Parts: sequence; structure tokens; C-alpha cells
Amino acid sequence: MVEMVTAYVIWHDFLRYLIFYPPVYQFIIIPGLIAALVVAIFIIWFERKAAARVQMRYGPYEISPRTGGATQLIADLIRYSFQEIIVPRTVDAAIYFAAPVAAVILSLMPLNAIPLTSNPAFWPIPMDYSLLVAVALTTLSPIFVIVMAWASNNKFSLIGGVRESFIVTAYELVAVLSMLSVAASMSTFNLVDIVEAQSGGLWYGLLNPPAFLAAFIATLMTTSGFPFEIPDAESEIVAGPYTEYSGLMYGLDMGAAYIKRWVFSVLMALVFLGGWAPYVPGTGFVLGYLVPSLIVSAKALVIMAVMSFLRAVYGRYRIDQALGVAWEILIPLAMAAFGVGLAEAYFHVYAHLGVMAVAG
Amino acid sequence: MPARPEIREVPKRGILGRVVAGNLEALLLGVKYFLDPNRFTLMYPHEYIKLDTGYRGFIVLIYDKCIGCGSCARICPTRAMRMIFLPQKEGERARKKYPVINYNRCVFCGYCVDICPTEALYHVPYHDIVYHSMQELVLTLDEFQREPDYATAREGIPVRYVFDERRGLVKVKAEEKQAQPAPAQQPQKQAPSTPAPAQQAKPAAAPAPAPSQAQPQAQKPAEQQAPAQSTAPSQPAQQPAPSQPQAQPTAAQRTTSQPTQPAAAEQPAEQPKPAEQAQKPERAQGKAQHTEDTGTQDTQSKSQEGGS
Amino acid sequence: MAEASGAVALPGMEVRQLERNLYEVYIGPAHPGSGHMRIIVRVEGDVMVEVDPDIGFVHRTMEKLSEGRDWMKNIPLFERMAILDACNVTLPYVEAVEKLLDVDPPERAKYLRTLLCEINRVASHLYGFGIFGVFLGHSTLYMWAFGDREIFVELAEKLTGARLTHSYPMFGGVRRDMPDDFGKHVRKATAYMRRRLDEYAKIFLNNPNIRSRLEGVGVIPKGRAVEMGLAGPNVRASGVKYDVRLAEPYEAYDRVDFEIPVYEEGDSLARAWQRVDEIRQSLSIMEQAVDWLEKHPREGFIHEKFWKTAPPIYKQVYAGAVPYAGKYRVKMIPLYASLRVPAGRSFARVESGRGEITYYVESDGKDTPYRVRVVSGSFRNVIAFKYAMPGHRLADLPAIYGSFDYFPPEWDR
Repeated sequence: MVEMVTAYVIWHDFLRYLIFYPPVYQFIIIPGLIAALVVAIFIIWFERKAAARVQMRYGPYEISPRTGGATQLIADLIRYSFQEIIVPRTVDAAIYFAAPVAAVILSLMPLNAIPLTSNPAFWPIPMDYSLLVAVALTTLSPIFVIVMAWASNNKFSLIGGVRESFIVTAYELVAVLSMLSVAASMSTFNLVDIVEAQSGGLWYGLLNPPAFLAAFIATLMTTSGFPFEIPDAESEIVAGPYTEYSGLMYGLDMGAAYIKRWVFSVLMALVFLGGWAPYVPGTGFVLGYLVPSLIVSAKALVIMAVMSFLRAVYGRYRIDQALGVAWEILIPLAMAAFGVGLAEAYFHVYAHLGVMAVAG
Repeated sequence: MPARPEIREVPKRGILGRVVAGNLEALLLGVKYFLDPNRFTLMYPHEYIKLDTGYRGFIVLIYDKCIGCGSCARICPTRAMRMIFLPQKEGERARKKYPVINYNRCVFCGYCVDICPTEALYHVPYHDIVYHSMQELVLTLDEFQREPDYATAREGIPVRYVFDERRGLVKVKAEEKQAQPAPAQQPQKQAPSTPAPAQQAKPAAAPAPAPSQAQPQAQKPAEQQAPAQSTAPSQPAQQPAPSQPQAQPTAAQRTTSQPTQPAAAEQPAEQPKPAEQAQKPERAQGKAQHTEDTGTQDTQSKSQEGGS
Repeated sequence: MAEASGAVALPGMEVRQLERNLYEVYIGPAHPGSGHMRIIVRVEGDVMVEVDPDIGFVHRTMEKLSEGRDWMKNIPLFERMAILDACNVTLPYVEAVEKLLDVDPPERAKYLRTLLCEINRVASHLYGFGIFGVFLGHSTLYMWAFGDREIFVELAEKLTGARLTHSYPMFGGVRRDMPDDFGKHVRKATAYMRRRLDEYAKIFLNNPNIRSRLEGVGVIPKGRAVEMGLAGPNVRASGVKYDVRLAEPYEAYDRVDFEIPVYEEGDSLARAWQRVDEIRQSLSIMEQAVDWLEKHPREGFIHEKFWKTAPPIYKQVYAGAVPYAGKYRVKMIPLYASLRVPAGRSFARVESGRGEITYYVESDGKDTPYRVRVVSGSFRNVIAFKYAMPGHRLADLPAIYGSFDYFPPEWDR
């Protein structure tokens, strides 16, 4: 009897304080490292299959015909793990190894600020400005791509790094403005309040489509999604900053790009697609933490799938054209989105919809 | 009417609306193909293309039609064909030449097949044979008369590609031959495994004429029934049929016409002739029998000239 | 950075001092976007200042090899110069030797050659589109172009027996006649391809993303194009109305009705549209050729000189009476193996997929040529790299390269 109680207590404590402990859960499990890797594997498979469907071919198939080649990515992962990491002699060794690792860590950093449930017991860091902190943390990682390019001591990498630095100046403002227009509209930076305001079924993406579109395109630009696959433009600069990496280091580089895309998608799912909206989180970690995080993950996955599909339709922009698109089209669009947000706040749209009583 | 030059213009880039419309059109086309893909990938080796008879694949020699003129070796652009000398009879001073081929060099241009004046060389309609070493690609006279063992046909499903207006190419299962009751024709496969049919060839030579006469009639209605795929099924239908019984007499010859047994060369050369004559009608699809006979007489006379 | 790149000066090597701001990038042979050649680019910032194509990686000494081979054996040799355009690159050789032999192929042979030339032209342009798409990052066009090319390769296989290495024209005629149901296949293929060209326009040429990459990029004005001596679709996209099929019609081109599209803009987008329109015209020529071939009786596939001494089995093989031998195969008389061409010089040219290809054949009465000189379309076009690219950004290099449809083996021979 005492053993059963203690076993239950130990198990409960293990789950509560180790697995479902918010900082650990957020950073490592969902939507952290494990979920990001699983999603990256799935989304790369989906990208290859979706592109193949459009392109008159089958994509991964032979390895497991019954599952449509789904285990191809596992095979690729295993191959990357065992592949020899060839380090050229001319690289700057310490930074060459540190940069991809730092890029992955910094890409995952914003997840510490994103709450995935309205149950306050499961917030990683309870803060009233989670949106602002998350968006600010997303701007940290590009520097390490440039560092990778410089450390590689290769002309093509250098050109790729320079292009990466250009494109950061292009999308940065757009991403921040479009994400923050929801703050203007709902007068709060707290992601939990934002999601709860959308719980009536009217998602913010419908109320402010320019913001959604601008945020979507900015995410494409930041993570080398077509049509903005510029820093690693294969037919021009081999693999850009990632040219000299091989084996697991190359896997980390690709992983960093996909992880960043995943983080942005989670943010967009919370802000524009209602987060865990129709579902009201209960108590306990299954109903109060696991389920809402899975709902948010599913929505983020849909966004990522649409981004992957664009690979089959678009080519690649030139760097000056990408900058032109950003500064001539996207920044006015993001400013317009911000204006729409302000207008909505002025006319108390959300209050009129009876969804949320907004202060002021 | 000679050609007419005409000035054209690139479609103009419109205003912003055209840009939006251009993006939307591209995206909608992508979505359309995402929902309804058009794929005709060949899942080789689970499937393989069953090519028509006219395909220029590996080359096979028909021993008793070859007159040793050497035109094939002379015309070969890559010097893949060579003529070797075989003594015909013991004590005979003159020797007869036969071609052998080195597949390391062959580019399957088909010049040798086209230039042979007695049609002693023919293409088999497959090309994906695998060898283990480069030495195996240099064939001896024996091997040159055998159709290569087509391993893919043993395990794969034969398919064909049919032209289609909406989808470009459509993969359909290749039809098997129509109604082959004769035991000598095992093959739904192209590749004869020579020991087994060799045993069946001799007893099958007698019943061969009976089903073979039924065969042309069986094939004619089949041909009329399937006009859409007119040439393709009938030709592969016939092609394995003649090749195996036809290869068997030569295989039987092959074992005996080594240089060490020149005396026996003539007799087996005579024996399969009646069997071959009996099998001629099935190859001729019931027509042009008369010309076929003159053809054999021509080759016979030429072989006698070459031998003497 | 350029001086400090660790270059070693070997004896006899000239070391040039680069200007301080120029950055030398070698888009070399082992580069995903270079083909079988190297392009030495000197950039200043992002703008290319000097572009130097470094060609010769695929040199196979074909012209010298041809001097050691008989006349007939050179046809498969020269075919490998641009194997995707096989009929077009061997046709001038066959025509030149026919001029020396004083043999004019009969009508049916001319139409058959025209048919295969146009099938090859469509396949070659689609190959160019595929490479163009993948250079710009548009993998869908790459897959579509190569997938649709399969249809034309299958057509060629039905006609000649081989997918790419046709070796189809022969002195005096062709090697095979058209199969019975070929007209049906050709019509289906052309209907399909016409629809696909509209879809290519939607997803690639009118796609605002790609359009902005191509419009105004690599402009070659008309005078410059003539001065540099460009050929083929590249010069017709710059406003010059030149095509060998117009200037000196060969085979059956003076009897089929087609247009030669000419664009005046001269940029990469015009070159892409030029190829699309050329594919359309080729489809129409194919249909007309097949119509003629179906209506006319099956005679005249090879010149009488090469057929009148043929034994009866040749006619049986042609009629399909020898079942293991296929049907409509034109066998060669043994004269071909020891053909002696009368001494003389001749010259023939043909419009291949990439430009005008010219053969100069000199014979001194033996059974091997004395000299064969080939000038291909890619040869004429490669000079444009040097003059059309400087002034553009580095990212325009694949856009311009792809639009020229340069095929290194065709120049390097």
C-alpha cells in the first residue's frame, strides 16, 4: 500500500517536475528540440512528397512503399549521424564548430517565452510581455550564420554570408511590425490574453490579413524558403554559408533553418490562428498542457506545410530583388497592418464582438 | 512554301493587378497538380518496359544464316565486332568466319544488324543486362548465339507506355502473348534458360507445327481486336515464340560445331533444317511463306558457297 | 583578399595583378550551376566586371577521330557531340557527303529526316528549359521539362529504335520508315505538348518571381548580336531574322509551312519565349510531315543507288516478313562498309536546337575523310558570355547562362 502510493507519487513528481516542468517541456519536448526535430523530419518528407506530386514524380518511395517513403528521413538522419565530418584545414576551427550549435540554440530560445496554455501553472516564465520577448529573441540567430560563413574561409560561403546579412535587414522590420500589430489591436503583449481573445472563433488572421501575409512572407525570407532561398542558393553559390560543412554539422545547419521556421510558425499559430483557441485548457498536465500544446503544434504544422508547398511553384529571387520586395512592398504592407491594428483598437472591434473586455 | 519570319512580342508585364494574378495563377496550377498529379515514373526493377521488336537492344547471331562476309565487323563504328575463324570440316583448308562481339565497345547503333545481307543478326528488345566483370562482356561465339538472360523479366511486371492527350504518357501493363499452348514457348519471359528448352525443343519440334498453324489464326483476330495497340502486342507475342525454338536448333548446333568436332558440324546443320522449315510458318505469321522458303534457299546456297 | 588567396606562381605562369576591389570567383566544373565548363568571374561587390568562359573540359578530339574512321562510322561519332539533338548534328555531315557522292535523297527520306529533326528540336529545347529552370531554383520546370521530354524521346524510339542515339540519317536516305500508327502517336503528343506549353507559361514565364529575374537581364541588342556572330534562338530573340531553314532550306523545309518567331527585346525572357514559340512551330512541322508521310506511298526512303542491288531479303525485312527483324527497316547494302567518296570538298549547314551547325568535309577519294570541320551553334554562342554578362549581378549569371542554352559537349566536341 505504501509502495503503491510512493510509486504513484514518484511517477507524478517525475512527470510534474521533470517532463512537464515548463522550462524543460518548452525548450526540449514540445515545441522544443524534440518536437522541432520530429516536425523537421516530417516537414522535409512532406516537402519532398508535395513537390514530387506537382513535379510528375513520386518523391521518396522505394525505401518503404507502403508508407510512402516516410522512413526515408530516418535513413537520412542516420546517414548524417554516421557520416564523417570533414573539417577543412583552412577554417577557423573553434568558431566553425561553435556557430551551428549556437545557431540551433538561439533558434530555440524564443520558445522559453511562449506560453502554450492558459493554465498559469504551466507557463515557462510568467510574463506580461511574452509576445515582445519572443519576437525580440527571434532576431538573435542570424548572426551565427554570418559567423559560419566567415569561419569557412571559402569564397562561396562569404558571398552567402553577405547575402544572409542583407536579407536580415530586409525581413527584420517586417516580421516585428506584423507580429506586433496584434498588440496594437488588442492592447496587450501577453500571448495568453491574445489567444483568449480569439477563443470566440474569430481568429486574428481573418481580422488583419495584411499582418498575416506580411508575417508569412517574412518567415519565408528568414528561413530560406522559396522564393527567398537566397543565402543557400544552390546553383549560384553551391550551399552558401553551409558549403564547408559535412555530416552532422550540415544536419545541424539545416536543422537550424527548419527550427527557426518552426518557432516562427508556432508564434504565428498563436497570434494569427488562434493558438489553442476552441479548446479551454483544464487542470493537470494532460488536459492543461499536453493537449493545448498539441493543438498549437498542429496549427503550426499546417503553416509550415504551406511554406513547403511553395517550393514547387516559385523560383529564387535575386538578393537585390528580395530587398526590393521587402522595402517596397512588405514594409508598407506591415505598416498598413499595424495601422489596421490600431484602427481596430480605436473602434473597439474586439470589445464590440463581446469577446474580451479591453482596458481602454 | 518557305518559312516566314514573324515578329513577336513578349507578353507585357502589367500593373500590380497582373502581378497578383500571375502569382495566383502559378499557385493554382501548383495546387491543381498537387491534387491530381500526373506521374508515370517507372518503378524499375519492379516494373520494366516491354519494348517493341524494333528496339535496338542486345544483338544475337543466327549461326546457320551467317555466311561469314564480315560486313558487320567492317561497318561497326566502335570495332566491337570481330570475325574469328572456325574450321568447317576436318582437313578443309578454307575456314569460315563468324562474328563475335565485345559489348564493352558496342553502342547499339544497329549498323551490323542492318548491313547483314542474310539477316543473321537480330536485336532483342532489351538492354539492361548486368555483368560482373568486363571480361564477361566479351562474348564467345556460343554466347553470341544465345539471347542474354533477362533477369528483370523474371521478377518484374512488364509495362508499356501509351501516348495520351491528357497525360502525355500512361503506363499500362503490357499484354502477354495470346494463347501460347506450345510447350516450347514458355516464356512470358523473354529469356530462355537454355538447358530446359533445349530438352523440350526436339520433342516439341514435332508438335510445333500443329499449334503454330493455330497460332497465326489466333493472332489475326487478336490483332483486329486490339487496333489501338496494334503493333506492340503482336510483335512481342511473336518474338519470343520464334526465338526460342529457333535458338534451340542453333544451340544444339553450338554444342556440336566446336572446332574439335568439325565432322559433326554438317550433320546437325542438316538436321534442324527440317525442324526449322516446319517452324518457319509460325514465324511468318501465315503470310509470305513462299518468300521465306526462297530466303532459306538463298542462305543455304550462300552457306554452301561460304563453306566450300 | 584577391592577392592573399595563397596563389602559387609556377614557372612559366603569368601572374596578373588584380585590381584591389575585384573578387575572383571560379564557377568551376564541379559546381551545381556551371555545366561542363568553368566560368571565371571577377566581381566588384555583387556586380560582375569580367566574365571569362573557360571551356574545353569535354574535348574528345572528334574531328581527329573522324579522320581514322570510315565515312559511315562517323555518323555515330558525330552524334555524340550533342546527343540530345542527334539528328540535327549528324544531318549536315550526311548532307555534305551526299553532295560529294552526288546523291539526292528522295522525298520520303527528306520528310522522315525532317520529322526526326523536329522531334529532336523539341526534345533539345525542353532540355534547355529544364536546365534553365534548375539554374533559377525552379525545380518544377526542371521536372516538367524532362518529364515531357520523355514523350518525344519515346516517339523517337518508336521511329528509330533507340531513345537518344538515333544514328538515323544515312547516305542516300534514312534507316527506318515510319511505323504504321505513328501518326496517331504524333498527334497525341503534339496536342499534349501544346497544352503543356501554356502551363509552362503560367508557372514559369508569367510567374512574377521568374519574370523579374529574366526581364531586362542579359540584353543583347541587334547590332551586337550580329557583330558577335551569335546563332540560333539567341540571335532570333535579338531581332535578327536569320534561320538556316529560311536562308537555305534543306530537306523538306521548303515544303512545310511554318513561321520563324523573332523577338526584338533581346533579354533572357525573350530567349525563353523564343524557345517556347519554336517548340510550337516544331509541333506544327511534325504534324505536317506526318500527314504527308501517311498520305504518300511507302517508297523512296532511300536513294536508288543504294537499294537497287539489294537482295530480296531486304525487301522482305522492310515489309515485315521476317518477324524477328522488325518492320520498315531499311537495310544497308554492303557498299556502305567500304564506301569510297569521290575527292572534293563540300559544306553543309543545318539549324540545330542551339544554332547553325556547319560541316566542312574534305575527301581525297579514300574510304576515310581527309578532314571534317564542325562549327556548332554553341560555339558561336559562347562568346556572348563575355560580353552580355558584365554589368549584371552575380545572381544573373545562371539566368543568362540558362537562357543561352549552351551545351558544352557541342562546342568542345
